[in-house]
Amino acid sequence: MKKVMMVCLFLLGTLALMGCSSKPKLYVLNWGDYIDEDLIDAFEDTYGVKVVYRQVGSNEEMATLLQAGSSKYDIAVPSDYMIDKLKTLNLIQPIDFSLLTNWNDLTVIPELFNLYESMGFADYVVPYAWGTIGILYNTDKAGLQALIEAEGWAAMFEYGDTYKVGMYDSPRDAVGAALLYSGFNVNSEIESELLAAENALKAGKFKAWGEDNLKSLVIQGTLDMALVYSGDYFSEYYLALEDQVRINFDYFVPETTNVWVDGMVIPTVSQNIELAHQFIDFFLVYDHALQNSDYIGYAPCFAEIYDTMVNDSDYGYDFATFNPYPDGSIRQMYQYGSNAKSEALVGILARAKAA
Amino acid sequence: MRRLRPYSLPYLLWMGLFILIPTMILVLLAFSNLELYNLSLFQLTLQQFRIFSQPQILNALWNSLKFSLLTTLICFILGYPIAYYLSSLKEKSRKILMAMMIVPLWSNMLLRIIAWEKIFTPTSIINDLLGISFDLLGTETGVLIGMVAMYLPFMIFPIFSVLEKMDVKLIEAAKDLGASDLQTFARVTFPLSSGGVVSGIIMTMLPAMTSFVLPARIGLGRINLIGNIIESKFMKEVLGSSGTSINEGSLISLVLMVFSVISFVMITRADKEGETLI
Repeated sequence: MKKVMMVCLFLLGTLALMGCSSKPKLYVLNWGDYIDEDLIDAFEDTYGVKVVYRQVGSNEEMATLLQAGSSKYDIAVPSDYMIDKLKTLNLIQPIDFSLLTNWNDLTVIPELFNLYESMGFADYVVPYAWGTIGILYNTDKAGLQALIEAEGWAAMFEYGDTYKVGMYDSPRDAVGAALLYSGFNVNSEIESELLAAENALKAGKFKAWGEDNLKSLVIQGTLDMALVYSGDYFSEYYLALEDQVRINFDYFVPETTNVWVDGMVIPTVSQNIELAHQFIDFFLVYDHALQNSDYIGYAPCFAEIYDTMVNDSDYGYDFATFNPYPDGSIRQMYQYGSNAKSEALVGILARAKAA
Repeated sequence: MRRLRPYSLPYLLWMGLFILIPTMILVLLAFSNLELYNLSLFQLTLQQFRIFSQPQILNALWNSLKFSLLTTLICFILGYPIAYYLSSLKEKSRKILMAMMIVPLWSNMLLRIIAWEKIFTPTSIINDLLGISFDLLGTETGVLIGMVAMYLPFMIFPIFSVLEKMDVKLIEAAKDLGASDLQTFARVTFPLSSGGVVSGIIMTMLPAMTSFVLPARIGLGRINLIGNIIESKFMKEVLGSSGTSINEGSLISLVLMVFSVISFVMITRADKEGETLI
């Protein structure tokens, strides 16, 4: 008995030791396939540290991990409304911009900066990538493009009998789109407006409620159109270019829509605040920022990087929907609101789906 | 034998850590307002029970019941004859057939679900080759076909294992005494296989009732089973509902767990030696 226990303890001990190394560690929490890992390797080599990288699939998952606090993450990359929420929960700390030596070399695109500054978390975030929500549609479907261009959001909500429409299975996005369709602000907390959104979702006759599977459903032809994030479209678009297959889909951004932004934040539990700043700073080096944005393929948040990607023929990101905020368009941004508001959104979606 | 006892310790410890303690936490969460991610004082409460008045929860419960019963019924109708046929085969051909059923089971379930998803798209490979288009994603028929395909083996094998062990002499005796084929089946074979049938029903019905990936992917999120609600309560609504979604999810999970325990008791009653539990 004792011998068995000894062997077990010994094995456990070796396992524990194997996990350790003397290098300092930086814990990073990010979305899947959302960073150029070559740059992480370069950062590790430059600073002699080990980056522990964990991928998640949703903002809620990210927040849950930060709230549980079992791992002391030093960097996370949540989106707009979740940054707002994490700030109010005191789970992230202000960024010390004086530690970011490259911050002044780059300019955050002013329209974007104004949007998130007005939400009050500009001190807590270094923006990472941004984009829109819009309609992905199958161009093989005759007449659909003309309809969507003429009707905008109404194409999604009023033509469920004629076309097969997919809606995002997330309270904020579904209700947000319904609010935009009804002509209200995405952050509306007015009861009558939310009720209008709920009724629009119920009347929408959607064929599918999905998440990142919506894009392939449209491309395969199971759906004719669906609400997607610009990132969903870009990734499929690049994939199709790479594989040199016929592109049978396009992305339409209504004149008024929501803008999403993901940003690097430093959680309050961080054990290595200085290294966290160095990590952010590393991604603010012009070449690194350019390389990373080119890898991700979403619109970069810095004017200098954006200009190169769009105007330099080596990059060639000059397609129409790449710019999330073209002149003359109207853009809004999700705010967290209150818990009661979020609960209301969850309820609206659940009722709309059961209808 | 006593000397071997210490070797069971690691697994006993494992069960305690990962089955017993989590179950206790689940019960606590279901009947209190404890916030899992914000531990503090809590009160026992029954307020979570209010979710059972929400239409979307009732709808999901009804769907779970409907789909699991239909799946079980279809699996039984299809599965019993197959099991019977298998048990009557010679060993060699039986092994070939068994392999054809078991080997696909060894591939990942998610993979098989995705395969059905591909078959059910209008532009599937079947459409390319044969010109037949199944546009069944997002339909109840599609979900039902997927579930039957997924769980049919769980009906066949328990029934087969009972039929295989059945003494042929009993059937010969019944025939000697003048019973027709139908009478022999109805009064000898079927009653003797009932243990396998009960196991098969439960082993089909339970996973069908609790499945959530299959309805989400093949049902395109339109057909929600109770598993989808639990997933949503734990994974999606967590931060959006001041934490209570976890307590609600725990309560629903507990309801399902009660179902499972009742089923387990039923299996052990019907099949005392546990020979059909594969």
